[in-house]
Amino acid sequence: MAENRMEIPPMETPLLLMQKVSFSYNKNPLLCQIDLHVRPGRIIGIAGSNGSGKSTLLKLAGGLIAPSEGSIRLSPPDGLAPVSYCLTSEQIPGWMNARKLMAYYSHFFADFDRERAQELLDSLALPQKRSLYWLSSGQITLIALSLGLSRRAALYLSDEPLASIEPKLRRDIRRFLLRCMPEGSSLVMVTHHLNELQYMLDELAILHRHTIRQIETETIRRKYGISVEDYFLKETKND
Amino acid sequence: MGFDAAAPIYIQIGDRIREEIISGKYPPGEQLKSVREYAVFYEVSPLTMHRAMQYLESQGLIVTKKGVGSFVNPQLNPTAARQMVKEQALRFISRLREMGLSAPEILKLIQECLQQDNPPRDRPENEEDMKNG
Repeated sequence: MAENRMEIPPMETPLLLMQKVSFSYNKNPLLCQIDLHVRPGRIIGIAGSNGSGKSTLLKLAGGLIAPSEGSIRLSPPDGLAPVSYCLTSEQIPGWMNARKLMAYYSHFFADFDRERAQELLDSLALPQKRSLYWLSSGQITLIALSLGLSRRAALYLSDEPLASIEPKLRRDIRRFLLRCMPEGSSLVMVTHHLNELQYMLDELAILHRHTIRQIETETIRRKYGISVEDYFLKETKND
Repeated sequence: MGFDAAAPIYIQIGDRIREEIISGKYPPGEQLKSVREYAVFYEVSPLTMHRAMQYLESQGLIVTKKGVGSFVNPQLNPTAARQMVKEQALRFISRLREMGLSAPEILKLIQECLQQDNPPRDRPENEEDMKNG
């Protein structure tokens, strides 16, 4: 794996730099000596089989949990929060609605741009006073992304924004992300939808057997001549 | 939106926009869509779209004003556009030559293809431009 480590151009300070990060659950190692770097203006997909530690990696990057070992460095440009972790539909209680969630964000995050959040929610024409109980997971995801992307942050994290969502809404979400990501910011998302995201992702990070491989998607296409999903299957097949 | 593995995606997108410029869809001086709008349209990363615009800029097809947007080069004249069409034709011909076709065979093949193809006569002004250019 070491020979495939990507070079970081010296001029571009990564927004996120994880070095030799390990994480264990009850002494069971999940991630071992993981390196990950996120440069400005990139969209990076994290893929891996179920239980490979994708969500854990995202939570480590977002500072929601601390690593057992290793260093995680966030270097945002001046005036921006280092990271905004977008909540998943399961992480938000069903009794909340978009309005309440917005009030919660305003109180909790000094960098939250309430007007922008309102604008984004209005543009989606989603019910804002209805409890999330009554909304589909796709609608909740769009609300969560509207709020997460309304924080003035250098790096946005999203855990499976396309999971359990029908194709048309998945397209809306893909386009919504592209439309709303602030210029120069980066997005790291956990996803299984490699085929439909393959041209949107600048880089792919594959978690497999507790380690990681990070590669540019253009390299996958040009060097290996296969799709991003086929590359993932090749890298994770049991030998 | 489909792409193939033959060239980097930014070049494939750049070539599509280039064709739109040459076809006159965007006349000289006209503002193009923003990087973000194009990224949403093609569902590609903003980085890829930036590279596509830089590629078009390096060919002198567009000019980018910082903070304003990208425009079709106002100096772009029909002769230059014709030159680019000619380049495409030359590339096509060299590929047929690589397949072992001679000049008369290529000509015959193109004539055959033209007879099969019934083009909609929807762009008379462009045909005029081509003749004058």
